[in-house]
Amino acid sequence: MTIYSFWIFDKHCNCIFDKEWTIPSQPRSGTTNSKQNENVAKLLYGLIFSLRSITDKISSDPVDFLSQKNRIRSITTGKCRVHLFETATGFWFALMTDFKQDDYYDILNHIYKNIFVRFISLNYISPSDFVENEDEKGGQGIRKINNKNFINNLELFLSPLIS
Amino acid sequence: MSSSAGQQQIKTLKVLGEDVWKNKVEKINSELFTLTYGTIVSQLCQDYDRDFEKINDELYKMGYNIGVRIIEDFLARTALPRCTDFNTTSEVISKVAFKVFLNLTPTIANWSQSNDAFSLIISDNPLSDFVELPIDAMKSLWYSNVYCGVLKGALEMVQLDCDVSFVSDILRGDNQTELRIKLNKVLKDEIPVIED
Amino acid sequence: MPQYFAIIGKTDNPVYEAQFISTQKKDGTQEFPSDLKELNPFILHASLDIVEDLQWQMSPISSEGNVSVSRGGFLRSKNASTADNCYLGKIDHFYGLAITAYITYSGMKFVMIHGTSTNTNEAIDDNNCRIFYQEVHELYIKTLMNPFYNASEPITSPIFDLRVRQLAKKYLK
Repeated sequence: MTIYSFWIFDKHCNCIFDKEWTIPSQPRSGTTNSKQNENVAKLLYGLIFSLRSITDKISSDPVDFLSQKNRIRSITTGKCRVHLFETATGFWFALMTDFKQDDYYDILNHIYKNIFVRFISLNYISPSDFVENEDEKGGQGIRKINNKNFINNLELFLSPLIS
Repeated sequence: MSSSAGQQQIKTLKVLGEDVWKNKVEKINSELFTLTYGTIVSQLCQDYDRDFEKINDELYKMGYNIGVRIIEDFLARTALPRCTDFNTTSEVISKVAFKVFLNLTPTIANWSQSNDAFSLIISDNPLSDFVELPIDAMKSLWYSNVYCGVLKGALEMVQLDCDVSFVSDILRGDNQTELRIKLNKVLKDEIPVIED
Repeated sequence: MPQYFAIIGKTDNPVYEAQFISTQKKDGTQEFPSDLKELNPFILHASLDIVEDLQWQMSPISSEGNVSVSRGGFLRSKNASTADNCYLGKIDHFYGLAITAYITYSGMKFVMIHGTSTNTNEAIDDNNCRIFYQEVHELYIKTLMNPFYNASEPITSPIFDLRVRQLAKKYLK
């Protein structure tokens, strides 16, 4: 399977992390948090956001709160598939891959649980909220995750999966 | 929501809480935990010169910082989605959240008329094991005020703006330790700013 | 038999003191005679030297008389299974008043003067005394666990006082 890129959005509509792999077989060939990806990030966010609001409107209310709402899991285009994982706190994890696998839910869950929570949320020195003033909300924020532990562990985890 | 479905849901939450506590949580010695928290409060009393209002605020702030982070840990462990109503929130807090982190199940009581406020009654608070408040602290210090901050921070991250405060505390001589949680409003999710 | 009990810190500072009056007998042996009462702290402190000697003793000296048999030196006996060696038993006497002592692991000294009944040859009830000391030791540990209590401060909690007095009623006659 080939992973093209990985994105994290927060509840302020900002992209707080993106990583792209240009040569799929070499995990370190990619770019992390590059400026060129900013527009792509916004488009991706807009795509996910719109489709999500549509599915919310067309699906019926769940019977009880534990049977979860009907949410998007993946969006497929002609050349790639975007897999989505969202948390109740408003973080979206998106993985752009090829068609080899239908569902990357488990992988994204693992990234959230063992890498994101461990190195970002529970790390007291890293900010819990990447927005520092009102201007950076609503998709205009610029801060990214730069935590080396997080980046290294992410690469370590994803590189064996990239064949 | 019919009451039998409600009961079923509560049972499921209870089972979830116990299962996560037993299998997925690392445990530490409770005395170490109690003593660590005790030294924090005692040191704050020294640093702020026994100005107990300030100490209450400081504990609340500390709790808030813990809360905004611990909610992610909680969601990662339990994979629960956002609650549909405040009733469910109260059940999740009592049967899953407190269970997973402290192995406590506080009882829910004193629902308000409009169903937007409830109390949690904590029967044996691990933070206050062996603690005896000095006489000047008994009138104004809320020893476990960190709980209020944690709940406020955590609930805020799931878009619930709440006021959390202590009503009574056994350490102060009251009959029970009671925490009151009041929902102010549900915060709206942000939408991207539209650029021309 | 009345008793005068005190907890002494490492710098010989008094941390807690209490006088236990027995209410059973009414023949004048309830309290310490008033002239002797004022001497109690002095007698207690005089025995502290002996306590410290025993505390730092390298090789236990075999004891004689009516004291506890298993005196292996403070915390140095090979047979020590539990807190047996904290209790030092009767360490001194002052004109017929027996003085017993107990050392905690951090060097706090629990010392007690046992008042006399008319029969000065009556031995102090060693076992009950030992249990009393051990229970007070537990209460003391709980006091230490209170974050608002700093070590070696005087213990002012009324609950501690009440419990110690209850223990005295139970184990000391």
